[in-house]
Amino acid sequence: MKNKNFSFWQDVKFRFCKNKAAIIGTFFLLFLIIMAIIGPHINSYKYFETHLELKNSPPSSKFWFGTDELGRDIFTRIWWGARISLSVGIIAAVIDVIIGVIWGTTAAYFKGMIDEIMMRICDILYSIPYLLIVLLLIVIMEPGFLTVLIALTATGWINMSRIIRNHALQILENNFIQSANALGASKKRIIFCHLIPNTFGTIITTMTFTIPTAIFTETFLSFLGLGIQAPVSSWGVMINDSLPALRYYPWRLFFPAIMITLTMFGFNLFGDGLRDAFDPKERR
Amino acid sequence: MLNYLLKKLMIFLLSILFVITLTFILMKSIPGDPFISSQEIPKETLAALYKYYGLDKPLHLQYLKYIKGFLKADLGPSFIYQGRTVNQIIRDGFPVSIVLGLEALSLSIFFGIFFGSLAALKKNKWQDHFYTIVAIIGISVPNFLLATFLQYIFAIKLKILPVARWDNFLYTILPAISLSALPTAFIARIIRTNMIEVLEQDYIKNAYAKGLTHFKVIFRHGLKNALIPILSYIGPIATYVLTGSFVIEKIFGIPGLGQWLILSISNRDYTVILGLTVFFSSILITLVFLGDVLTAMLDPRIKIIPKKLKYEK
Repeated sequence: MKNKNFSFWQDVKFRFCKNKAAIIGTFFLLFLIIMAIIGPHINSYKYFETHLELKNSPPSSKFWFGTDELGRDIFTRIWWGARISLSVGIIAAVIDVIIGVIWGTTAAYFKGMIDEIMMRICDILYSIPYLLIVLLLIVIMEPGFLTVLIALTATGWINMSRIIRNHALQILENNFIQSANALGASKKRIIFCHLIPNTFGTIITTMTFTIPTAIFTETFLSFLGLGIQAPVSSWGVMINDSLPALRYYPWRLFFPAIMITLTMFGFNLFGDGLRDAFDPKERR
Repeated sequence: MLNYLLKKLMIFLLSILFVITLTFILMKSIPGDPFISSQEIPKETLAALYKYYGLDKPLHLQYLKYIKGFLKADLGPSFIYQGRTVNQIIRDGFPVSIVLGLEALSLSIFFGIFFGSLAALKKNKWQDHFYTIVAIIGISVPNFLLATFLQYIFAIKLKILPVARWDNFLYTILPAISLSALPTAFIARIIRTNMIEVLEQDYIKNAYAKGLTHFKVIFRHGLKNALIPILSYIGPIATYVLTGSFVIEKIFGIPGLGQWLILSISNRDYTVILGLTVFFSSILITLVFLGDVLTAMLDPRIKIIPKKLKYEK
């Protein structure tokens, strides 16, 4: 075997590509993203367009996935829901990362009292089940996209901060940080040029697990009628609407259900693959 | 050790105080009024109602009254259901929820350990891959979907089990299974990782060398040590089971506390939301605290971690 030097990222790419499950997950996610963008425009129906004379019709050549109780095209609504779910998930994860990186690296860099106080705040917030906080926030705000997003990020950043802080502390023990210090690098330079770039692996991996959690929470809230409101479609809303008529029109539940499951599955496979690729020690 | 426990105890107390304060602030900032829907109420009656519920007093007094009530385990009356108190609701709903929760928890612990250790023993064989895929599926399917699916198949189509409500053991099967799927997968994953690590240790080799049977080595030496880290996950698992019960109880029409919480949220029943949130959180915070204490007692490594290394945990 030839001895060739790989850079860290090449190494990650190599390990990731060798993982079949992760590749399947990646392809599915790509498919989902593309469909979320073009899906609602493939046929001529709009997600809010009703056909009352054709309500609850089964899948056919006219309505590929059938229609719901107001005669809305389920195919269009599914991909519109994918847009909502993915954007909730991705925006929430990005906000979590921004707050988490600032909070986590600050705590890790300054150590001592500052670290202690910042982390104890996290501990206290973390000990409360996040769904309860989300539910409480939903109670005081109008249900909708923005509220779901606020509720998700209000609790989501805590986990991110903790993980980034722990990783940052490990990095700070390394020699290259000491060298940077010895060479007279400023605090700002050490944090932004040495600390944060080295946490990228952790950040990306944690993000891929945050997104499905956010999507799940959105569906959960919409399912309880506390999340996204009609006529905007979301998978949770569609599932909730389909339940009373489950005996007679099971396809109305089937399509959103299968989409949620596949999405979660895709993200989990992708995330597992990334984690193993970034940190092969974890793999057993 | 004592320091560690004291620190945990302080966080425990602060967390509970934080929950009470947070719920109080949130509830007070809700737009609207608990009596606003009943427009027929004359002004004097309204004033009397405010007085009766203590809503005419300044905020800090209401807050103190609430904390005092909490310490005396009195969470106040319901605004919507006349003559009902939060305590009564808890007394009615909690036994149901706890039966469901414990059933789900025992199912997930049993099957989680079973599948996790089997996967570890058959590491990288087809059984291992099979369990891993099943575990990922278990994590991917949201519990309310699984519940609906099971209800559809077993209750509506096959008519083997009851569709909904809560009478005898048969009624608990489907809800408990749907609630336990994710924790099972979660526990199985942890057990698998720990078990593989434990099985590589020297004392396992030693146990084999002593001539113990395979069975004894796995159970006495392997599993026992692989189980300890599960304790520190008791909090998150219990949290999942409790919050998961909100939807599961709704789907199966079970008269538990989760159902009450969702109901009180849609009714805007202030004190019930407040009381149940505090109640749920206190239970979970206590469980997390107990989990930490037990782990510290069972795992001697926690005592001797020097201050500097502790960060790397």
